[in-house]
Amino acid sequence: MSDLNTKKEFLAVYDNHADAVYRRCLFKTSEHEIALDLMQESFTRTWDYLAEGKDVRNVKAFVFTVANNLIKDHYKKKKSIPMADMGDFDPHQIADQVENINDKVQVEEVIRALQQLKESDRDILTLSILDGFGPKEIGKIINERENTVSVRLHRARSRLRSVLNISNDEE
Amino acid sequence: MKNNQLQNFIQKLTCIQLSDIDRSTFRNRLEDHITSNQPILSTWYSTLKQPAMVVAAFFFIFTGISIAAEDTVPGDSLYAVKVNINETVMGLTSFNSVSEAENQSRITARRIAELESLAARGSLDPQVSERLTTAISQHAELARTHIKTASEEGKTSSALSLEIELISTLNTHSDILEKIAGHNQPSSTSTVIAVEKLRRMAQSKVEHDVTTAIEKSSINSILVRTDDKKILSSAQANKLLERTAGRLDMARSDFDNNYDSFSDKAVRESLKKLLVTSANKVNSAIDAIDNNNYEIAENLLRDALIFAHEVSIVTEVYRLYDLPSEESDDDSNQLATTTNAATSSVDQQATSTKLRINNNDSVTTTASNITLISNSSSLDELVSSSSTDKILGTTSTTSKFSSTTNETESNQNIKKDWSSNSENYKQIDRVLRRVNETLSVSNSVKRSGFMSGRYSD
Repeated sequence: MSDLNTKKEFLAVYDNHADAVYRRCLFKTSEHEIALDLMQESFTRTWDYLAEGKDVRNVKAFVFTVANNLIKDHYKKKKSIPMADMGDFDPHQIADQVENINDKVQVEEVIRALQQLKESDRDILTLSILDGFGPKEIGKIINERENTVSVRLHRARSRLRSVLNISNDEE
Repeated sequence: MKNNQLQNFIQKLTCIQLSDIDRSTFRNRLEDHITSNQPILSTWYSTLKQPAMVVAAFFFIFTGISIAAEDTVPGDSLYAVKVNINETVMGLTSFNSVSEAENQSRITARRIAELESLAARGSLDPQVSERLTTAISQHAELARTHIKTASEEGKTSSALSLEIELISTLNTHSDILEKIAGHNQPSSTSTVIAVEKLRRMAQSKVEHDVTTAIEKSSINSILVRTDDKKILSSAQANKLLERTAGRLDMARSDFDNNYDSFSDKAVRESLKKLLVTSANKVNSAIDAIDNNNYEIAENLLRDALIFAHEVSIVTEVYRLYDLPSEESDDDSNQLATTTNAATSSVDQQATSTKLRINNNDSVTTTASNITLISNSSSLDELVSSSSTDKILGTTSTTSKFSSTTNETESNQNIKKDWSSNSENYKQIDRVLRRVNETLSVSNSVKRSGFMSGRYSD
């Protein structure tokens, strides 16, 4: 594969997934500027890894994994709190990044619902439903076993249904 | 059903997106990063997967045969080893367009060196001359193809410097061959024909191709536009600066290591001036970059690169062959010891050289530089064409050079003994240090912009 193709392909990965990685970083930090930096750094480090000749089978999942690690590093540098206890999920700040008023209202509604869930549930639900990852890929991103992810995903869905008053019996 | 409800509910978050400005800004930064960090090992690995090639490569690299073959010329028994094996092994390290171009340029220079070697011995017959010039033409053409590819891939500064170096190689060697032909009558016809061919190759239109590619590659980068002419971006200018400074450092080192091997002292002094002029140009280029005047910076760096490249080539030629001293020849002696009584034709030549430099046509000046090497008056004109010289503090020296009244006095300044303590050596040192400082500041600014300085490890 020539360098040109590789470069083009990687920029296509950026074009396709930059929004998703940015969203992920924004959900975890609630700060636009930091999310931008983390998103950029995720793609840069992924490229550096590829440029060393290493193979990546699922580039999207890899970028998300790098982003996740950078988010952890960010919190390690910021303050000594475990990632699971991170409380930087601020509906206002996140919704502020949406320009359209109607969209903003809808986003705030979803975020307020997600805010009532545990951090780990939010992670799994957004990675699964929003970003389209399967349990195996989510397991790699958040460093959990696939089975554990499947169980937690099922429970997280149930909890969100409860929050939204959707009956679990309809399943 | 419920899953769809959840899905539709959470999918509303997809309207959280990057703004168009953020998306394109970070895309450009990523593209710059990709361009400056091209894959290396992957291609190595794929090459190493070919066991037969590896075994053959290591076998020949580590045998005396291949080493002994390095100094051969056409007609020698080991010449085939040099061309078919050594150069194939050299090609194994070429993993992208830039290194491919470098490799082909290197092979071009090797063929020219063989031509010179045979001409210097007086044994360059027409058939060998024809064969070698054909090979030179083919490799130069391949180098140009790879330079064009590199340029189209956005490796603009590398492409530009490679192009300048290739043309400089062809022109400088043409001059050297011409000199050899002038002193070696039996082989002069073949040599003169070879000189003409080299000059024609040097005048090919790579320039146009690279310029076109600069325009293409600039579309997605930080483009600086002056009227209708597209010029280097800040990052590209810094890259060219880095490469030119590297070449200057190498030329100084070559010159330093072979200082005592020059039989012709006039040539040695002229090379010293070329080095200082090159450093002057680099210094002025930094000023231009500081002032965001990348067009001027590019022109200055082109000149600096040509001068430094020429010093390396001429030094190497004098190391290999004991070329006839200018001082032994009446006509050359007249050129080498130019004083106030410089002829009108010399003045004309110097003036036209200066004009061409000012017109951003530096590459075409190369052919005349080697002639000017023995002409201190013309070189002083080149020195004086340099703009601000803050660090070198050569403004006063420059005006002295420009003066036509006391050439000998101005030469005394530059003809000091060459050592790490000499002023010329220190001048070049200061410029190289300034380049390092400029590049490190530029890199740190880029990094802080890129990562806001918060996440760098």
